[in-house]
Amino acid sequence: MKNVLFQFFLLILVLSNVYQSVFKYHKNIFDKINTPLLIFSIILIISIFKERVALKKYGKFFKEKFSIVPQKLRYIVYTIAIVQFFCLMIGETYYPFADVGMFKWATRAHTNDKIYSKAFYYFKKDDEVKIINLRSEHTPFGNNLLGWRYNQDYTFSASYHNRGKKENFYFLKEALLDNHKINETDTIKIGVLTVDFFTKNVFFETFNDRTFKTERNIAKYYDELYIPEYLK
Amino acid sequence: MNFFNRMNLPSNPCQLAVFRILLGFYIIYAVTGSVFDLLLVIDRPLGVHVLMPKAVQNFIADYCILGLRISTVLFAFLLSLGLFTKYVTKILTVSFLLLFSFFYKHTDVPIHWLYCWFPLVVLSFSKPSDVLSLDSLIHKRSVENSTKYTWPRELILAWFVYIYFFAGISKILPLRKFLIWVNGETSRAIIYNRYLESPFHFIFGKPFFDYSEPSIIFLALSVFAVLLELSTVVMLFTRKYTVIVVTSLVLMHLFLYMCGVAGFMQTAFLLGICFLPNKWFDFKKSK
Repeated sequence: MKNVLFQFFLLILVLSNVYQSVFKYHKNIFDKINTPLLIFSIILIISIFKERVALKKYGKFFKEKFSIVPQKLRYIVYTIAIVQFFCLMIGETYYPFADVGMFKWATRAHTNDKIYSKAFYYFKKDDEVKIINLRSEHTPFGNNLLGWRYNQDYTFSASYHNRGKKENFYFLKEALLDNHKINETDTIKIGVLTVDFFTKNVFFETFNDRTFKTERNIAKYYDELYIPEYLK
Repeated sequence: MNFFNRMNLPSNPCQLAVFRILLGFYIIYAVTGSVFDLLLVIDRPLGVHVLMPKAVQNFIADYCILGLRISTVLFAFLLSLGLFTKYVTKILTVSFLLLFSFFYKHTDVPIHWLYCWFPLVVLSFSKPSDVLSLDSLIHKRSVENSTKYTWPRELILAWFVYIYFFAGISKILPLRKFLIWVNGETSRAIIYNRYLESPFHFIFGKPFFDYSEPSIIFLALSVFAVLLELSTVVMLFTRKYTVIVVTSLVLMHLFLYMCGVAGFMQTAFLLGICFLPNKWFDFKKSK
């Protein structure tokens, strides 16, 4: 019984790997890494087929142990489990069924540059530069620019996926106005925050109006920061 | 004792009730966030799959978000209070799933919904309001330790294990991914690229060391993360290491939060409530 369960478990893992290797990576089926795994999965299928009597017993065991769960929920759970395993095998999320691959795409750090820069909005209040580093605003370490509703979901969406969108900029401006952090007359500008990993220095460069150079605004993964019309 | 055997053990109802209360408040926190306002303003869906007809998706995006947010908050609040729970959980599950279909479609992020929807389904068929609830005050039923407070927690545990174990698997299979993972480059990419927006920067002001160069620290972090995620499967077979595994996962998420990857710590903690030793929640003695 345990043997069958273990084989079934391995089979899911292996099929997941083979499917993803062959279809996701568009690699040849005879790829050196995949071939042994494919053979392994075929052996497993044959092995499970041979133990189909044990499999029936296992089904009975499963039914018995789950009898404590209400019948309707039991069927719902079975359905969810089947669709979830399907999502796992194809490596795709079909909301609300997820392939649960957080950070599954192994990334090579594209650069060994000692200098890393990123563009941020800022404004001046009493001659003090206030950097709008949105990702700090949902933590206790921010400038307290936004209210509690601007939680990490908002800061994530505004800082990454939508950072190049005009609507995102004006939404942020409205939020700052609503929270009385800026006045209508204040201007939001763009500056560049830089870290030098070798010297460990972090510094912020401000730019007046049109002097901001767009080449400093190159984003590696997401869009470049939206530059308001009045700064172009 | 394994997952199947544990389901047949009676337990006191307070643990499930505490989970119900916290889940309700957590959903309120997630739904009241300004991200929905931003996404409505931008309204540019990403190319992700949602198991729902396109027309329904568009209808929700165009007309239902405000209504769904209000209803989800209202029913989540009722869930926390434990009032009309039998009906509230079912309506809340539907409302939550519809609302977060919009969220997922516009963000491609598995936060909140992935962790919460299955527990909501389970709560819809269980008795999480027999104690610490308005329902229990109204009906005044006598409550005894029972298996009906155990199996929902065990199913939620299975969901938790599923999320983390297969997140671990997806990092190491296909094998060519594993090679990139274990050499620490992914950890380095996360820490390097997010440094300027991380609490580590906000607190300490400068990097601890040169993140632009490969280091054994990144390698150790990667291996530890994968091993920890894979180790969750142990919770299906024994309760012995549950506290260690759950605490380590929450600490891993705390570290990720400090590196600028926020969002998963609260959810891991929330679900982790279900797996802590039941005797820790024995603050209301069974009659």
